[in-house]
Amino acid sequence: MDERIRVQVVAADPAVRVGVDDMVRMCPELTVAVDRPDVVLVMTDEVGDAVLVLVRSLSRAGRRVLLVVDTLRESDVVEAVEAGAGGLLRRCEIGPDRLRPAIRATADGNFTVPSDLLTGAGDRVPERPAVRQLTKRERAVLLMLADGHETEEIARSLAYSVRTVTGIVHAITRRWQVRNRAHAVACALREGLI
Amino acid sequence: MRNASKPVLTAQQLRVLELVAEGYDNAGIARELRCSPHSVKNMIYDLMARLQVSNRVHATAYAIRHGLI
Repeated sequence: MDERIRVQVVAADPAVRVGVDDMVRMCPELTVAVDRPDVVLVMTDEVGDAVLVLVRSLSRAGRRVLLVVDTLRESDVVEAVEAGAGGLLRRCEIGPDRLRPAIRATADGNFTVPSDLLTGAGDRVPERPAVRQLTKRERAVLLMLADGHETEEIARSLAYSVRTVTGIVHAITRRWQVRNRAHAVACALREGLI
Repeated sequence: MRNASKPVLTAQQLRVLELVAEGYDNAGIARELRCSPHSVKNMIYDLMARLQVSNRVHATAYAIRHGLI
């Protein structure tokens, strides 16, 4: 049985796609596939609206998405996770040695992100532990959670997919470094954010 | 807010709610209170009924909003 990870490469520039296809083929445990891929590798210059829409629709369709971005800022991570991305890489980082473990992690459902962005986030926490912020939609989701609504109800009421709601909650718990949704709601209430 | 009967929780239930608000799961609460996860579950069901809330997140929010924890 073929146990290779099926990878589909999506890129606006066909030359880029062909190049990355080749790189994927160089890894023996990976195979290029457009049909039923395990991981969709989305190549993009930046995390813009068009890419987020694409990631959202892929993740709604149950695809695990690894985003490979030319210029990646910390705020992009939050947006990409909310859209349902399963991992992020900088384009300059993708030699086969880096690409292979990232694809493997994404296929297994483990989140990959450039370590400097993680370290950056970690470093700042002790300096300003009290600063917690919410986007409008994060606030809307937390408020509904605090009122006892389940994920499905929140999705229906805010016209998001269930995955989007889960992604929003996940983004909050990651950013705030809290354990779960009850913890997040408690922090938000105690800090007067909702 | 209902005022006819302000819900009364036991000290143990309040402690459970504090732990839920700190992100503990049932197993963690059980370790902390030295009881079985099963009794944690029962305590949470009982306090949810007393507070008339629909789940543990709701219970936590209720308790904070009403100054119980």
